Amino acid sequence: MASKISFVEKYWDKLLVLPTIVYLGIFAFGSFGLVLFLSLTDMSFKGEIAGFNFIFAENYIKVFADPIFQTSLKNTAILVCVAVPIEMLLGLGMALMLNQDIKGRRFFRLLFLLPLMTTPIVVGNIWRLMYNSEFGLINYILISTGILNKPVPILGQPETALFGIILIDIWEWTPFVMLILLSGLQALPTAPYEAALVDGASSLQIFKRITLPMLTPTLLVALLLRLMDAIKIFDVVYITTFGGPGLSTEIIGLTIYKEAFRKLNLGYASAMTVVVLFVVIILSNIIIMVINKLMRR
Amino acid sequence: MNKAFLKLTLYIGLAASVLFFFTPIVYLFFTSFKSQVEIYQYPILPKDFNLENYLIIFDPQRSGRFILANLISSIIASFGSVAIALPIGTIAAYSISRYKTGGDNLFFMILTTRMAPPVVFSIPIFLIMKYSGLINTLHGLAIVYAAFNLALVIWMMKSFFDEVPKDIDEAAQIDGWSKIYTLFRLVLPRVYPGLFATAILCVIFAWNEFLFALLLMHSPLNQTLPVGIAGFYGERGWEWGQMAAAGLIAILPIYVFALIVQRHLVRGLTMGGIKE
Repeated sequence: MASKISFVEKYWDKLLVLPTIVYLGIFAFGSFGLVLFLSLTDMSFKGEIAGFNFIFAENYIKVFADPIFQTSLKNTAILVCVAVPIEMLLGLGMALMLNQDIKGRRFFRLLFLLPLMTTPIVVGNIWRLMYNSEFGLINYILISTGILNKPVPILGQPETALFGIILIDIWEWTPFVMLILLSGLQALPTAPYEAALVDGASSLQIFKRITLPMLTPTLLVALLLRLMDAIKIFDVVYITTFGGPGLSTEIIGLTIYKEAFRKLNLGYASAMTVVVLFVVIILSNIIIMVINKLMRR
Repeated sequence: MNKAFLKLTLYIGLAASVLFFFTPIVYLFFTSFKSQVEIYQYPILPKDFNLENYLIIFDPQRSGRFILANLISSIIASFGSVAIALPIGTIAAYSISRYKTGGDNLFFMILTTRMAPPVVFSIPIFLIMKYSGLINTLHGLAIVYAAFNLALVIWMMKSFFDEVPKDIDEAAQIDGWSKIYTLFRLVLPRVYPGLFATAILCVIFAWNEFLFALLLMHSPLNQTLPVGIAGFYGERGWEWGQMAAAGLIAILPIYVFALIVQRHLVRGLTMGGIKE
């Protein structure tokens, strides 16, 4: 008995992390190993796994020449590069507003959080309602104010569909940026502001010389998290356009899903997954490197 | 002059923000009271606040849907995942906070499991679940959600444990208390509020999750709310009013949870981005 207790006491720190390591070992790192293995095979799935052959790099060669994969990479890049900067700007503006002394500040903060908390599938459905060309609120407003003379199916035509998705992303994620920046603003020291007021600095000068430099680390954190999350978009596109019309809103997550679970090419879809994972790892390392460089300055 | 102008911009900005971020949710609320015909007749406000859509979706014979079963499935899967991830993650977080177990590498590796796109794990987890017989079961879904919530629990609980003075552990050791007693009787009670906030954040994540529920749950009775709602396509196309009603049922509990944990949201959301 005594030896049992001393065993627990001796390895206490390691025993505590053991369940986590086993759990994540199976699900995260086991998963990764399995995907890597599958990506070298031609495995397909028809209710059960049939036999499969090792075809090694063949899937990878195919992935890089796949026009659908290229289109979805391009669309994902457009979405990230357009939506995230707008979210950062709007989020900063809102955080600055809510950092002022206004009545009901806490109430407004809570109100703006609602889009972020909304189930993504429901977010998609809300905007299907909003965009609907027969009764949707957006077309109703545009027509009754005379901006349009006939309804436009925003998600139903290739020219505007990706723009429609980007607007949904902005609606859903600007509150996220706002929340992080607001907490950053509220953690800033007050002494520099008092000194600036004594010196008679204008609001614009205070913002440019004091707020912005001190807020930069928080801004970069928000940017990093948004970039990583924007790549993950799936639910909203699944429920609104499913990648269509044509391939106009096809994004990475959806392409892998369709390849694996609609066309049932597990091997090929695994190769896509590995490529995406490496792109994400490389991208995030580049971003972190840039951030570290900026922070040191 | 300058000040008045700033004040005016502030209130215009605030009004515009409220309109943009709140109108779509109000619109969903209004739509949930409209019948399929009324949606075309009354573009904004419903004619009256008719609860018909809510009654239909909760009656499987009239709607052919199982929203009540979906609701129960969502509750089981999300709370089940917390029941698994919270104890496992909390003890690991304590170990990482107090003993720096695994150094920076272990902590960083745990966090990366949350940074990678979920779709990366879709194929292997589908196969693991299928061949372990856990596919299409709610405890199977809870186990998968727990894997994703584990990183969040460790991140949150480590920061809460870091706030508890180490003197407590050291004093307990000098007094001759066992390490088990120190953790469960002396340290853990001090992080109960953090434990509660972490649990709710995990519930919110699991509740909103769609991809794995879609892949793993095939029978309509076992599907969670997001999957149930994604299937609102009837003989006459989308049944908008019913879909809106089901959407509100799904998001109202989350809004209540968000209200409870709003103080801890920033900590939960910045996971992996802020080094403390």
